[in-house]
Amino acid sequence: MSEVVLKSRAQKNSEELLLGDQTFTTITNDISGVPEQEKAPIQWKLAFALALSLLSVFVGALGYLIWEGTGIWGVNAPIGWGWAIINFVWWVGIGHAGTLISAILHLFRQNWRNSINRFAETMTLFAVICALIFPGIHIGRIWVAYWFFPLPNQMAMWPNFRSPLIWDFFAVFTYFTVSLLFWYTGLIPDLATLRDRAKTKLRKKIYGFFALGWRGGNRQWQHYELAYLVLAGISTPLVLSVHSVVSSDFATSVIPGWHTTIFPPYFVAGAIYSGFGMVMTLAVAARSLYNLKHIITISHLDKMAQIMLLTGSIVGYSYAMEFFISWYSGNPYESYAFINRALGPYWWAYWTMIFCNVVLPQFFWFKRFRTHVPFLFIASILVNIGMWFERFVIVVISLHRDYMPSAWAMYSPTIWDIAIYLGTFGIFFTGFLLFLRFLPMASIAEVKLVLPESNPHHGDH
Amino acid sequence: MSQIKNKNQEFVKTNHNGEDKANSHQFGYWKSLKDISSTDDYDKYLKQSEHHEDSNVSRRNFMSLVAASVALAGLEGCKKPVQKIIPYVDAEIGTIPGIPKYYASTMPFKNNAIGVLIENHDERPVKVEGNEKHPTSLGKSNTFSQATVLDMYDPDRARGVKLDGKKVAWSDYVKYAQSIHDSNGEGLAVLLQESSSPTLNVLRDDFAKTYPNADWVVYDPINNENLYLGIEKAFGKKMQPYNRLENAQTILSIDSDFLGCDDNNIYHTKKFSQNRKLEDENSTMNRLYVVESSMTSTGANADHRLNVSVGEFNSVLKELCSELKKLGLKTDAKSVKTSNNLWIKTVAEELIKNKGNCIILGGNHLSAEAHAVIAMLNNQLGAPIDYYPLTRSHVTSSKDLGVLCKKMEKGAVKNLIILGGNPVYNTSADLEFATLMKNVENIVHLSNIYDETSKHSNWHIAESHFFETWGDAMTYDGYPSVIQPQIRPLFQSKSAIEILIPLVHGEEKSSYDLIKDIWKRKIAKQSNFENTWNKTLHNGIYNQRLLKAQGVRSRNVSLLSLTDQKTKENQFEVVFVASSSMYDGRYANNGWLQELPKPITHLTWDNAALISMSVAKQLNIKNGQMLEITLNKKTVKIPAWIVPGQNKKTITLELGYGRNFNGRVGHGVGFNMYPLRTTKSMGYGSGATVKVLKEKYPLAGTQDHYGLESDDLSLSKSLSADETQNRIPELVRQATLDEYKDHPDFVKHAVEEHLPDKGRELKDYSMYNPEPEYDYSKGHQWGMSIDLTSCTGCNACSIACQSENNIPVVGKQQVLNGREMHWIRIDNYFSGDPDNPEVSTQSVACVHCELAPCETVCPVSATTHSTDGVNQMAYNRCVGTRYCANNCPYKVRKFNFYNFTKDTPEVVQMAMNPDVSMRFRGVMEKCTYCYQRVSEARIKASNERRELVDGDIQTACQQSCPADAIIFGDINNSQSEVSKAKRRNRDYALLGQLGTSPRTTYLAKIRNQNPKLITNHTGAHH
Repeated sequence: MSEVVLKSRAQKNSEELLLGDQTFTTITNDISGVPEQEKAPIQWKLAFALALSLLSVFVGALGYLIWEGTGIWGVNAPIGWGWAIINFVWWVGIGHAGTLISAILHLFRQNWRNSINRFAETMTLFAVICALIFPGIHIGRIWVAYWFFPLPNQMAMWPNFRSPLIWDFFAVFTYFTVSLLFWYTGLIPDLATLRDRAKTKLRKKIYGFFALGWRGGNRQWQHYELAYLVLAGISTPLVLSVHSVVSSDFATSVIPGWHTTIFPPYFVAGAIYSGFGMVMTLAVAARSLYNLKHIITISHLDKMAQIMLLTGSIVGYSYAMEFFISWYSGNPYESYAFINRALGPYWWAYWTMIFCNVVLPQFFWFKRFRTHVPFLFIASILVNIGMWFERFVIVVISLHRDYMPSAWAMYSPTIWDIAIYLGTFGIFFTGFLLFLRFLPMASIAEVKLVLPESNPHHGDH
Repeated sequence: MSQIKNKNQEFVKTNHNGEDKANSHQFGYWKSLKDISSTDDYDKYLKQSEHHEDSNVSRRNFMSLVAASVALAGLEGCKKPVQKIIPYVDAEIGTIPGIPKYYASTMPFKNNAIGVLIENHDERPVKVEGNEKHPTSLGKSNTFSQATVLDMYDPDRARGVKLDGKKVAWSDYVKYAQSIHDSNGEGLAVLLQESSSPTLNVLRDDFAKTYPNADWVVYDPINNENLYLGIEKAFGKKMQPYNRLENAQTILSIDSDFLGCDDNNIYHTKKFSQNRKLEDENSTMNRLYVVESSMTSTGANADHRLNVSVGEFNSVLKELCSELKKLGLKTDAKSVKTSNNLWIKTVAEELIKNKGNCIILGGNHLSAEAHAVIAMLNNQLGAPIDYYPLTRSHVTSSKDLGVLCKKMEKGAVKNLIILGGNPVYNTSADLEFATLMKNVENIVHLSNIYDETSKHSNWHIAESHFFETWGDAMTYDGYPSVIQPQIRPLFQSKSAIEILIPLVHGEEKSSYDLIKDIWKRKIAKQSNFENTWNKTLHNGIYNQRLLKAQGVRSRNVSLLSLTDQKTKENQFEVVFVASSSMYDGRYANNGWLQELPKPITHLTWDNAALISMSVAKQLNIKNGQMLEITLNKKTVKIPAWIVPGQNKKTITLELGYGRNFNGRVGHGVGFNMYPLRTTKSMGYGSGATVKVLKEKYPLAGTQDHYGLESDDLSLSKSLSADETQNRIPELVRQATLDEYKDHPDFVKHAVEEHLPDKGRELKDYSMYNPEPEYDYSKGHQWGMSIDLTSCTGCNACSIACQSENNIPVVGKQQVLNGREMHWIRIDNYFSGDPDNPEVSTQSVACVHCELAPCETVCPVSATTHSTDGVNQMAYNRCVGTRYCANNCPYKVRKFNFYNFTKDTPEVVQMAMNPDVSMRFRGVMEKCTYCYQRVSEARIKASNERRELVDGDIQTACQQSCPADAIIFGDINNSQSEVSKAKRRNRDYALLGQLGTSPRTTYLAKIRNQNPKLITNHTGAHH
């Protein structure tokens, strides 16, 4: 009886999550076919050229920044943090979806994640790299950025462990390390597949080296699955902790608009929201580019949209709660900080944020919008614009009018702020396109799990 | 070299003797006095270093010589490698490297003398402080005396003597002067700036004897001519009034900015604020009434301010006379009653009530007739004013200038010697001085920088800074003081006296000899002259007056000559004022002053046409909008700036900008308003028309008065303005004197009484560990108290801080970006009626929180707390995350966004304080409580094996503050001044409810308002 139920569920799964008549062979062929292409498709080449030029913009802007100093940016007194920190928080946030998809959904046995987790994890990796750049380069004396590390030195000078920036630093580094390990561990069986299918010696050597001698034996799978589970377990709290720690940069300060206890959960929800937005953007683009619509199906997109609806609503609730608390606290500074957000000179930023993060996800109540691919694509981009503005609202609007009206000022970015931000897209897409070119974009082994053939027992005899 | 060694030893001996004689003072401020005869070796050395022109300069100090050669080497344009530092081969005995020496001197400012102490590091003057023994400075200083250090080391200063643009020798000028001397000097004229020098006075007499037909003309564009003429009308003689404000309980200022730009502001501020020190609610204070057309520092400090246009000043005066007549004074006033009657009547009653203890001060824009009336009233009211004789040869006479110009026009002037000043730039436009100069054969111009006038002169001689030259000056009340050089001239420059000597005496003579000789013959006629001279040098002032206060009795001054200047509809009156930063333009190349936010407008790097809010609304003028102002067919263009408290009819124009000269800092900065100023409209001109242009010009203001300007932010205008208004009573806590009497604990009304748990201290509200890691009840704990009642917002502290702490100048663009570096900012808040607001002034620097939000957030512990309670910055640990600045509720941390000192010329580097490290880019900085001074005093006390006592340490801001509003000291010492101040019931912590527990606290502002004139409460109650 249970056999039948399982089977029918598996069949149902496979119907939604894999379209067409798929077998192990077709899946292997379809996914590994992409990195095995002799020549990259022209779209890839164009995209890669664009990514490289953005990367060079980044290198140029970074060089000028190091040469001249932080003054080339729009930051001033009292707005000591500008686009750099906004971008940092934004990129870290984007990374979160990857970990959520691969770790938490894995623990909850959500098989629908199997087609998109590789994707999402890779996105995490490069997003965190982009994020990690900013704390390093936004500081005044870039050449001593290593003082953030607790390095033993002759002066016995340690970082200040009370500073949220140090917590931040540890949190994001830990996150990066664990994400990298998790991603790589997931890749091992697929690397072995590519190794086995390799037609040139060089490919065989390289894939072989990274496959760590994977043979796909039962014992190996047993150990592998356990290791993967453990890593998923380790990654899971990071999904919650990293952005909570990032939020404490603001939450532990005394600045009205920053000093808010709701920040940790609200930041995590926002991070997942924006992360899913980014996964959606990339998935929609990649599945049409490589014609993998049968592997990354409408059903996947639908599910992602549902998560965005959930997290977007949490974010919207948090916005409302901030206003309520600022009124309820009776603290005039706090009240003003929030009224100024909505009605002050940066009202446009605030309402852009509200539209993208609160109004837009409401469309996802309807299946028609959740399955409408062009709408999803545009919405996913708007989600990330909205989340960028959320950080702008938090960082800039709170700082520009805090306690003493005599110190109030306005902020506007310079061309170098924009160049650095665009430049990080160069880093992100260069990395991501190289990944698409040389590595399987979906987990071959895990996608197969949704086929009825695999019917995973996990020791359940 | 051995010769030099011997000289140095001789030098030391004298210095020591001097020290012994005058060690009563804590500083040994006395320069070397001993004349040393030349020796061959020494002369040879001097020649090598291009200092052959004057072998008699007294300060033979080796290091100053070295410093001079450094500068020269750097500036002569030679590319040869130069030796930059010559160490002492044999240091003077008693010289300890790194220990500064203080010497007294005098800063001549127009016809006043400001006593200063000059801090010398390794014989290099780097900081000016007030001289306590000097009656005009009383140990305090103003923005100009603080900033003059930078003028001294201005790399754009002219060098040597030039004839027709070519460098010539000083001896060539001497020959030229002798040729005039030989030829009886037909057609000779000397044009000088105002001065008070007794030596110059003697030279003028000798000049008159030598050249009976020659002209001696004194001109300064900002002058008191009308005041002196008015006094002449009233008392029969031109005299210098000396206002003893300490004896005035009621002060009525009509247009006089005596706390701001007007003469003798240090003395006036000090004496005015003396009566604004409140011990408790039972103390009394003086009351200041101000009548003015544009908000000035004085108006901002007024207890009651009447906003009338300059054209209406006379009618206010007439109405005042009529009210005073009713109360028994003798005037020929007719009875008048205007809408200002209540105000004027109340003032009149109070003046009569305080007869003998009240004073009326008139400003520069009043006519001579009005000044005469004021002098008469003061005389009848028994105002505490002493009148001292005035030396005609020292003050501006437009009549003389007019005569000179007529002669020049006729070609009757052959030789014109212009000693300082810049007549081409700053004389009345209708004189067309530049054109007249073409009719003169030879023009000698002495100026510090090659300027507008220099371009029209064939001779140009570099003018010495008063740090470099011998000279003398006299205070208004007749105390002569000596100007003592601190360093040899850096740029082969000369003083006015040195220029005049060959002209008057036909031969060269050392100015030192001349001055000393004149002092010996005419001033200090004692038998033991050397002793007196040395003592005078040491103290900075001679202990006897040269002048006697004159008894005065006023004549009957008729009010008939007082006429009103009604300004027509759609027309404006244009009022010319001295710039609080540039003065008449003389400080245009001073970066500190260019970047200093002006007291009311907070503008930097520009002047603007100040207009009222209602005019702005009516004509739809935004801040920075270009205006075309036409007066008497002359037109200027200038951007507008909206100022609260400005009269609707008045457009105020600051002079001193729009310079066109060889100054890299000031060239082309701002807009030149002199072209609008004619002989008939020196003070102001009515009937000006304004055309609003479309273009906008970026003006760099450092504080945006949201809501009081009708600038952008259409959606949120009232939002920010209202919020600012809401916060003023909490940030600048204030009450009227009567409210204070009724509620001695009123400061607590703003915040503390609203806290949820009354039993707790503010500190307990901190989100950080309320238990400090260190026990602050031990040792010295530094703290500061700032009295908002006496602070006038004069900016002296801000510049003193800049000079003491090597704060960089960042330029207009960076100010526009909000990156100015001043460690002390003066906040102004306006409340009430925008046409006549109350002004709350607050100087804010780092308040040194015991539980500092900045310290916890720094990832590398670059900002930490010292055991004596100072929030410190370790510059070389700072990585520049700017997190500390973000988390500072007071926003007092300043970040080096660029390497602001990268392009600092070598000469300017000499103005830097060697006790304070320069900050590189990417580093945060802020007030340190002048920790270098704390350390210096602590080391000194420890060497003397004694405890530090209260008053050993004065921070730079405290030392400069002419209002004595800043007190610094040990808060663990219950007897220290700062502890006493903090125990007063007006003491409050700014934003204390955040639990930051700041070490700098404020004493609430008390306004002494007359109950008869109170229309609204200032916000002490709810």
